[in-house]
Amino acid sequence: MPVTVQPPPVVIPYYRVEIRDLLKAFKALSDETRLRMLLLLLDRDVCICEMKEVLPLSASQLSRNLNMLLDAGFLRRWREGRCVVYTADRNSANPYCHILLDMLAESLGDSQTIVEDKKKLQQVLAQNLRQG
Amino acid sequence: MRDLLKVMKSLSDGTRVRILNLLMQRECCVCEVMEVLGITQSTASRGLAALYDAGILKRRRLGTRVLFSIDHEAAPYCQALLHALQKALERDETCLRDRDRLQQLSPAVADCVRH
Repeated sequence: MPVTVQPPPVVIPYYRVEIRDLLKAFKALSDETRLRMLLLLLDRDVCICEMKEVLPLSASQLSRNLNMLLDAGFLRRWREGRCVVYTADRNSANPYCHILLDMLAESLGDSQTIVEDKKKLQQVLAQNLRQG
Repeated sequence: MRDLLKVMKSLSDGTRVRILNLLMQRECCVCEVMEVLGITQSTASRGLAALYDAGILKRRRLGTRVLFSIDHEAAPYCQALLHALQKALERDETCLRDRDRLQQLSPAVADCVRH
């Protein structure tokens, strides 16, 4: 009777991906600008033109930093007319993101910089810059 | 925010994460960390110093050895980060191997006879 040898199944070492993802998340959070962005995005969705009014950065710096946060699994983004809108993703595929997001909200939510950023965002939103 | 950034920076490194993995098992000295991870003394010392400076570790002197351990009284965000980290490390192959090596460490090394 012929013996058929099955090739071994391809096992993706998901645990490796997990630790790499976590390091990526830590790196993404190792920067003050990115922390400030993320804290703004925790409460609501913000488009790049609104973000630009709160944090004085060039468009390319803004998208580079937002992309790092997006890449680490902290954000969701979509398009609304001519605007690209971002928000914090509490159902991220990276299971540690929500632990980290809660930790950030709890430990930085009351810090002066963040409170001022949020106040500024409210003023900016009142001007209705979004081009839907 | 500055303190939190410091903690994040100290954790954004594969070697330091492996060091923490050992310290989550038990208190270790520099020589044990070097031996188990197969890294040089300067890498081990720098990694431990960065984690200590960030406030994640505490240290005590025992004779000629300096023993490092996780500071369970560290800021609440440290606890949350370590919790996330521990979950990720549980199933990581490299970290599992490191933990085995730590358990099998010869007493000679553990007593720092080599140094």
